[in-house]
Amino acid sequence: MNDDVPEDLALYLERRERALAEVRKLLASIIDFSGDAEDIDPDASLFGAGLGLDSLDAVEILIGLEIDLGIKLEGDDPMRLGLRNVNGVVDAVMRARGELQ
Amino acid sequence: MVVVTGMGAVSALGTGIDAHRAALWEGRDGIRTIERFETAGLASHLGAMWPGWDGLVQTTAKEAEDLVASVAPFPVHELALIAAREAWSSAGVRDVDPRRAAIVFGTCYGQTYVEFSAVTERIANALDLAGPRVTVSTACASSTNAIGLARDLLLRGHADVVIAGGADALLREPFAGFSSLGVLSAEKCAPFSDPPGTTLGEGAGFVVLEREADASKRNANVWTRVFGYGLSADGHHETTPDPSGDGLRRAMRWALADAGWDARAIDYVSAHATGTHNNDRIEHSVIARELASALVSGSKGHIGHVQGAAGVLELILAVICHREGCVPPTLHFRGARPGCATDPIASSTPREAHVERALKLSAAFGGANAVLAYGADVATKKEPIAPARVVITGHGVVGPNGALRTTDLLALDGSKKLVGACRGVDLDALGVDGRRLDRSSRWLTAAAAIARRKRAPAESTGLFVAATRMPTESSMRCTESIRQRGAIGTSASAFARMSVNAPAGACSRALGLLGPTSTLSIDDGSGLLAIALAAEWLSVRDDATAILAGAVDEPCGRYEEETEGAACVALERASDPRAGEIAVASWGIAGRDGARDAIARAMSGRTGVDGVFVDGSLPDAREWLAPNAPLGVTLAQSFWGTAHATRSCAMAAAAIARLEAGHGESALLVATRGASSVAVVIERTRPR
Repeated sequence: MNDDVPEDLALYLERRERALAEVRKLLASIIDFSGDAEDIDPDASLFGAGLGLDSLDAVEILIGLEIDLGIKLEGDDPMRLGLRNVNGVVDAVMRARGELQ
Repeated sequence: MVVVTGMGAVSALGTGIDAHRAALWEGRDGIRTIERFETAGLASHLGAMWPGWDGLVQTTAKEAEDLVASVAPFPVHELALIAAREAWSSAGVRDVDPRRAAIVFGTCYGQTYVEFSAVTERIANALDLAGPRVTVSTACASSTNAIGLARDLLLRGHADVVIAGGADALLREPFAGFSSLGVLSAEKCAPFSDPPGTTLGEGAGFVVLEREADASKRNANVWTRVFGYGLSADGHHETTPDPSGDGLRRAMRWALADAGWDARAIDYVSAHATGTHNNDRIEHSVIARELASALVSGSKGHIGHVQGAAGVLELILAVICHREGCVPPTLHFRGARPGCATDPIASSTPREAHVERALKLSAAFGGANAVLAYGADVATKKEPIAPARVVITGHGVVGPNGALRTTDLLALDGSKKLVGACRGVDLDALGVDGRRLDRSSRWLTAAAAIARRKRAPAESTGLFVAATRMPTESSMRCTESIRQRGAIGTSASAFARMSVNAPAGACSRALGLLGPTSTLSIDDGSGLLAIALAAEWLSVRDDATAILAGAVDEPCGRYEEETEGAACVALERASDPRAGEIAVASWGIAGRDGARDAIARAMSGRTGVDGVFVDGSLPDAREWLAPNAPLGVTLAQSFWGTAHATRSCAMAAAAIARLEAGHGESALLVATRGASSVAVVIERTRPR
């Protein structure tokens, strides 16, 4: 980590990287991603042209977040929960952990 | 005209037609707390179990973690046989040639996900039915579809009596899968009412069908008449119905057209009415718009959602009531959910109503819809449709080396055998988004896309698929999700994609095929049956301009030389075929080891063909060759490894390619080793 980065920002970035890794792992297991999970673009949209997930996969994400990451999101509509792209899921994870600034 | 002369039922309401009648008039349901497996953490603890299995433990703790290994001490054929024996003995059929007695059996999960056609054969053997034995697995529309197909077998003369129905047991994994999908109700299923959600059930139901002339000759008791049916694909989603309701509407209209009925003349509809938010709202909107004056009710508050047996059991409940001048009620109705029926016979007991013409609706996972037209009507005289020729407009085969070109098909002559896993196909090149397709769905969709060549409009193209078991990859993913996370972590998408008919649903969605759809098995040779049934459908019905008859196999590790892939033949209705096209001339189906009977029907009036293609064994195959027949005899197992569904379909494509290349004028295709024997004759059409 660069010394110029303030300590709280460094902590934030570290937590964000960790959440991103967890989310990528979860998504890779859902889409049966054959490559390296790190290749999943954080800006990729979950549905449509991006990862091509469908509504059943959205259910999987919610189940995976709950069981694998211990994060229960209230509601069952991923769009309304802001889960539009990979970063949206990372935000949701960090928000649930109280890590989002 | 086909009539129902026997009925048998086993469900949460009890054993036998009398027990079901009693429960209806007592206003009783069969929904209780599940004790046979753990439901902690799942969305519901309620099920509609058959009381006969009370007190039995379903699985050991270790087995319970493994979907494929959880072979319960609950053989589903036991359930099925109780209902089948009741139906058969109450019909009182005597003096029928066993080879002319057929069975069409519908099931979602067969014998704990592993055996499908084998269950059908056990029932047939127990009842000494030696005629055609067909298994239908279109998820929760299976038994409705089965009754329709049984009627076709009678009307086209393939059998003289058919027992048709379905069975499914309440198993832990589908229960967990339904829970993950968020469609289970914590309370008893309340169709069209609150709270939304369904209750899973188990049971079996069968009806015995005969041609009216045969039944009246022996003064048989007639429960009801079957006038027609319709099948359609939503082409929308694995588990959610098309919000427009167009899929169900098409099946309904086609059933009405098949019966020769006007929508305004329908007195009663037995709705699918699962109790889920989406199904009930969409189904009600279709019924309200299409059949304004019909009474509507749903039976899942009584017996739960009995999966593959839902359609036949709900039909039986309705027919029991019709005999007493009544319609069955919808239990647990406490006021309509928004957009739902306001009076779905909201009562605890049957209500008086005269029913002349009725519909049984089923709408299944995979987007498969089936609608049956039944009743007492004797007034309608339907003009038959002029039989059309059926031509072959394309074929596609995907095997271990990927997609086969015509030269590859011509090279399938036994000099080299294709065996093993499929290495992949370029779906992008076929214009298909393959990202969320499992292996079975990929191969089937690729073969269908190659076969289709965009001749007939996709929306009036049907899809008949031969599949003998559940897709391996999705089944394993579902198992793995349960192993890793427990029942509450059951993968919703893997569960939805592991149905036997899921590849057909995925293919319909990918290619926009909205016509009639079904998924069938006779085990070995299933692919040839799909071709024969598709050809027959097109020749006598006008609700599809084309049907893709496909087959798919994904290795499951239980057989030698397993060969993965899919094959598909595109068939088109042609009132005036051009000379030189390859047409399906005729076909026959008979029982196990009945190849000679099937061939006799397919070859009727024909002296010899230019080639005989056999999947299985036919020692005297040369008997059907014309003198100096250029194509001789070809054995499918000489060029294709073990593939119960695909091999006979790939064989058909190889034969078609030879006729197209001018190597012969006609060919006899035979499948000899399955639960049924099938024979199909194809030929080049001649100038008029």
